[in-house]
Amino acid sequence: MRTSISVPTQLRSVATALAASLPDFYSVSEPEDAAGLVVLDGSGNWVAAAAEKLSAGRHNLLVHAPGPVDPGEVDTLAARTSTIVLSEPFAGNPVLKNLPQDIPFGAVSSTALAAPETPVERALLEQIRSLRAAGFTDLAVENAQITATGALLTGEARHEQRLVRVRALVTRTSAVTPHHVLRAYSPEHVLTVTLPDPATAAPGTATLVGPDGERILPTDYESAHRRTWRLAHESPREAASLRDFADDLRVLGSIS
Amino acid sequence: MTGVGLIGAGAVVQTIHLPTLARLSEEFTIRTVMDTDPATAQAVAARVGAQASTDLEDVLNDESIEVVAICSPPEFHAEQTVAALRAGKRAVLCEKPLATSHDELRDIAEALAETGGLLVVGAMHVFDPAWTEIRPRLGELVRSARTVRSSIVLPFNDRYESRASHLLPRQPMSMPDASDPAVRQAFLNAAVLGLAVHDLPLVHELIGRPGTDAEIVSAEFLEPFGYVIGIRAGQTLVEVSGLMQPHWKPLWELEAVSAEEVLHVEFTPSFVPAGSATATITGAQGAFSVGNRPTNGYEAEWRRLAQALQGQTDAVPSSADVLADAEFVVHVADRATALLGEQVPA
Repeated sequence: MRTSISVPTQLRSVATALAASLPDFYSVSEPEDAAGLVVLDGSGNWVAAAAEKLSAGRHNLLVHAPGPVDPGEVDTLAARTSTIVLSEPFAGNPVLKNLPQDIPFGAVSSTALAAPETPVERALLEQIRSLRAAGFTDLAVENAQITATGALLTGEARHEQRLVRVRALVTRTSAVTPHHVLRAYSPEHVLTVTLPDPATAAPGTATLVGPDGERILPTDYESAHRRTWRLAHESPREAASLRDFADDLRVLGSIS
Repeated sequence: MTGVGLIGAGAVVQTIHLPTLARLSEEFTIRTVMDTDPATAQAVAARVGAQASTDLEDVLNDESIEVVAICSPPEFHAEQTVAALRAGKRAVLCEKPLATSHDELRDIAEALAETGGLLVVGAMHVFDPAWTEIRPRLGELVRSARTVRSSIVLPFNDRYESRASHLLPRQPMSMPDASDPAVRQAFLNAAVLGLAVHDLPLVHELIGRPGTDAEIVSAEFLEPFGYVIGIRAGQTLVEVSGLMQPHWKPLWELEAVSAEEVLHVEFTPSFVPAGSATATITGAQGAFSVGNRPTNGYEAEWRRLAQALQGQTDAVPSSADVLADAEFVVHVADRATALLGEQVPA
């Protein structure tokens, strides 16, 4: 079944392109009343916008690139609905769904290069989110250095039942397209994950180096947003949790 | 041909300096190999037809030796560097680290000023052909880097040493208990002075050589042997990390990011002559890469020392830069070690 979607003006070209790559699933429609899915811009106060839509009876919502907002408001929103889909630029990359979870990682490093117009706070949130999507949760930041153009964090997270040392570096630059590189270390393995510019379908990559050589994990030429939009139609239950998002916002709040 | 005396004849001499000097036999000849262990001194000296000695004075008093390479344990580097300079040697090539304390560096600075000798520190990446080629193009990356990242992930040394030469038998090392906070501090200090030191001079240059004004903001020891150190120099954030573990693939990177450019350097591992690094600057105009040269920093440091001895003094870093970089290394090691100690519960 094809779902008609309504999008704000500033996301129209993005949404049109995404819908064009999923023509059996979506069509961009006007007006909003006729839409089966309402797309919200995550760059503003998307929580308030989502609450407003819910109150207006619009229950199928998708937030495109959700940015920092008040975590308490996200909790409140989560208590009202479970049908909001978060379409995240890095955390939604398909490569993160195929990572090995049975390796006893002891440390992970994350490097994020963000676009010059991206606020450091948003870049940090996206980095925390991609760490969570890679299985590194419950981040507790111990030291944070923030400048106008970058950030350097050290702390601890949980991977499976194990505590893992974490370090994260963020820089804003126009030199290269935005991307993340995660590298996780166990006594015998090094896992390197690259998350490419979410504006492209360049694949995320994951490479596992171990005692027996090197293994390239399955690669998928699908952008994070397309994957999320596709799943929102195919299996909406796989959507990222609002409560996890609120938890990650609290981590961000503990830093900035 | 320039006569060389080697002080210390351990793994670094056997795997690095002997093969390197063999490739430069038109420039240098090894006259004496000195080691406190007579069997080691004799065995290594015999490989190159040099004299063996257990006495430093034999090297210092030999007028046919113009260059002294100090490859002893780090705690002896400064004292032996000063002794060689004061003995009137034309040049000293001291393996990294040049010193382990600021006091030692003051002694070296005095000896340099008084003797006018030439001092080269064997920090191989300073001399890596790719770094040498990319340096003039760094432009705004120097001083305006927003972040700098030095990341070293390496297998243990024995994976490479055995491919570089036939090593003489060594005394087995006992590993102290890393759960002991004092041991972790000692490991961290050794990791900075022994591993991070490869790239700290490059980091120091990229952040504008702030010396001891750089603030060490975080430090931790990683098991089995590694470190993560956070440094803040004004608005520049620096992450310096290293980890040695029993995997096979070396991942040795240096990265600096400014508003409009990214420098990315990938180095080859130590010991084996695996060629130079590759260095790439990426910006709005595209990417520019250098490297993939057949020689590495070890060979380049000896070649450039030879050029300096022939009068081309700018072939090697100035004494001022060498000393400033060494001050930075000691500062990072001292402060990181102290910071780790402060984190230990009473």
